Parts: sequence; C-alpha cells; structure tokens
Amino acid sequence: MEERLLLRELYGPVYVSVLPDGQRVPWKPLPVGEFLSYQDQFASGQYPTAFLENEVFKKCVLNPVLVSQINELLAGVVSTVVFSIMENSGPSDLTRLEELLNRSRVKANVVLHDMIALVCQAFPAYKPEDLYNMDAETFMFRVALAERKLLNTGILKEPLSLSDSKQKPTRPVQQPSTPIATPTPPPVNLAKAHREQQHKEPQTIISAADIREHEVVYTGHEKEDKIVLEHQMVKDTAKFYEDYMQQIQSGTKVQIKTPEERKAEALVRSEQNRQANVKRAKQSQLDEKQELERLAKMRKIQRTVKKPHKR
Amino acid sequence: MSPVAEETAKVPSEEVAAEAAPEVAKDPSQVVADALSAFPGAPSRDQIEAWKQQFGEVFCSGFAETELYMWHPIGRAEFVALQAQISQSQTQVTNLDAEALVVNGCVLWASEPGKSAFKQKAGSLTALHEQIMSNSNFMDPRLATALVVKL
Repeated sequence: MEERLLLRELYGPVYVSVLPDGQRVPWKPLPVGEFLSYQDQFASGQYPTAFLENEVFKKCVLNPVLVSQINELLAGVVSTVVFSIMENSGPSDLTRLEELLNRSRVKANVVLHDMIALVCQAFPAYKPEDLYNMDAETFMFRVALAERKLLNTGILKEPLSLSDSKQKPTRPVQQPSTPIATPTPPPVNLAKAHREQQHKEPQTIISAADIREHEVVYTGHEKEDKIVLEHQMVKDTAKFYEDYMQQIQSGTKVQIKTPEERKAEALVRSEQNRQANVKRAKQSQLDEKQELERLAKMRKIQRTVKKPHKR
Repeated sequence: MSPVAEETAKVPSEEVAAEAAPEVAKDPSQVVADALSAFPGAPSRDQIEAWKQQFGEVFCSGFAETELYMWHPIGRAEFVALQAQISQSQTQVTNLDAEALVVNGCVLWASEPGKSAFKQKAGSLTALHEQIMSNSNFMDPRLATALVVKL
C-alpha cells in the first residue's frame, strides 16, 4: 500500500502494471486520436508489432529510466505493458465500447459534469478540458453567465434548480446556529418616486387625435368620412390664418406675423369669443325668462276658463 | 503456468541462493555445472557465470533426464530484431518458423538427446518456446489486465 502511495505521489493518478517479478511500470493512456491511429497500424501489419509497441511504450511509460533501458528489458515486459495501455486507451471492440459508454454514463450523471456541458453549450469556444482546469469560483461564475445567456435566448425556460437533483452532497452541510438574515428590499417611497418622475425630461405625448391629419391613422368610417373631416378641420382652423388667406386672395405679398403679434391677436380673438359667449348666455337667459312668463300667462287663462259657476 | 514451465529451473544468483538454501549456498552455478558434467560439451561454472553476466538470467530445463537445455529469456532488442527479420523475409514465415528462430536465438546449450528431441519429438520446440516466452514476461492478455492498478 505504501508503495502505491509513493507511486501516486511520484506520478499522480496514473496506471501501474505490476509485473510478476514485482517490477512496477507506471504509464498513462494514449489520447483517443493516437489510440485509433495505433489500432489501425497494429491491425494493418505494415510495421512489425514490436516496433509499434516500442513507440507506444516510449510515449506512455512515465518512468524515464525504464524508457531509456527499453532494449535491456525482457521482451514481454514491453508487450504486456503496451497491451494494457491499448486496453485502457480505448475500446477494442463494440462490446468493450458499450461497456465504457455505460460506465461513462454513470459518471456523466454527476451534476458538475452537466454544468460543464451547459457552459460549453452557451459558450462553444470553451472545450470541456478548459473548464475542468478552472478553479471552482471561476467555473461557477461561468455557469451563472451561461445560465443567463441560455435564459435570454430561450433555450432554458427557467433558472437552474438543484434542489431536486439526484446527487446528494458528499459531506453533510452544517447548519448555522443562528438564521442568517436575508436582506429585505426597502419600502417604496411613492412620493419620492413621483417627484423623481416629475424631474424627468418632458416627453411629447402624441395621441391619435393629434395625428388625425395623417391618412395612415384613419380607421373604419374615418376613411369614408375623410373629405368631410378634412373640410371640417379646415373650417375650424380657418380663423387662425384668415388674414393670410385674405392677403393671398387680394394678390398682395403675404406678411408673416411674429409670434408676439399672433399671440396678441389670439388674445383679442379670445376676448371677442368670451364677450360673444357672455352675450349669447345672456340672450339665452332672457329667452328662457320670456318663455316662462308666456307659459305662466297661458296657465292663468286656462284656470279662468275651467272655474265652475256658483249657483 | 504450464506443467512444462514448472520444470524450468532458474539458476539463482549467489545472494538469493545463500538465503534460500544454505546447504547449496556454496555456488549455484557450480551445482548446475556439476550436474551437467556427465554430458559431453556441458558448460563449466565459469561459462554459466559469463552467461549470467551477459543475459542477466539463465535457465536450465528439460523434458527428460537426458533432454536438457540451458537458455536465456529473450530481450527486447533481440525480439525487435527478430521481428524485423521476419517482416523483411522474402518467404512466408510461419508460427513454427518464428518459434524456431526464438529457440535458436535463446538456447545456450542443449544435450545431444535434447538436440535430437527437436527433430524427433514435435512438441519439444514449441514447449521450449513457451518456456522462453513466459519467462520473458509474455503473458495471457487476461492476466496482463489483472496486473494493472489505477492509482
């Protein structure tokens, strides 16, 4: 056991072939691409098997002394170790492939592996190996970014929830003795919000009525009544530029008035309108009074006619 | 290990022999040389020591009292050279040819009845080839897989 610990300390999490004479040969598997290449070469018989075995041995065996003394080793040491390397570098047949795949499926069930797949989906530039090399804090930040991106794009319908995950924590979570106070949002100050709203830049609000002059906003019967509406609008607004129309009709040069002049004229018109309204209201009251007097007179006559004679 | 392989006797180094059997501790190479002295052309103690220096390990095995062989396990360089020779051969090389090449390359001495056995007994060469290969750490793939430990 101590020897295994020593080997682990020396070479890390690798494989070791323990030969019958007690010799330990540490090695790492071939990358998938190289495995496939060597598998083809072994099968083709293009090169003597021993040559290819020596190549694989030199690539994968981690003890440099053994590699440098490869010619002094017993012939079977290299062949046995390379056989194990090939066995553990990839599937030799379909049955072995299925077996490896099933084993990997169990591994892939771990939530962290799912998260790595999630980040790779959100940021395809990342390779899984890049993420496996990250520290936990950076990795979790990338997961959060990936989650937000996938939510925004609609790939994720809701944020990640791990509460119903099958994976249980490996260590029991120690509950704090006092509950941690979660920050509550401050109450909304409506008066302040209203003031802030008022201090905002003024906005121009254009209602449908304001843009009635544009044909595109006409709907339904307005399209049919377009001519009548336009005529009415011209009639209603004619008094505002009546003087201009008179100048044009008389053939004289149109004199554009200043805003102040137009404002003074508008005030005059306003006063004229007010006096006209007052006069109209007085006339209306007078007419109403006369009508009432007339009605009262008629009622008096009717009573006189209907009064019975005393015997 | 096959029954044939069990009959294989490794000529032990002096230190190991001294710990294991004090009664034969005088000199293992001398013991083997004495045992083989009855055969004409048998290796002397010095010859055995020289072979041990050259090949690391030397084995003595036999299929009968008089059919005796001394041989060394095949080394990697020798095995690679042998494969290169086979691959470059103009004629087709069978498994039996390959076995013969290995045995011829590794046998250091054979008694006269032993040499005759190669011709007269069909299995002698193959059995000796198996002994050589198994003592050169060639093994069954299932056994090789069992020897692997993941740290």
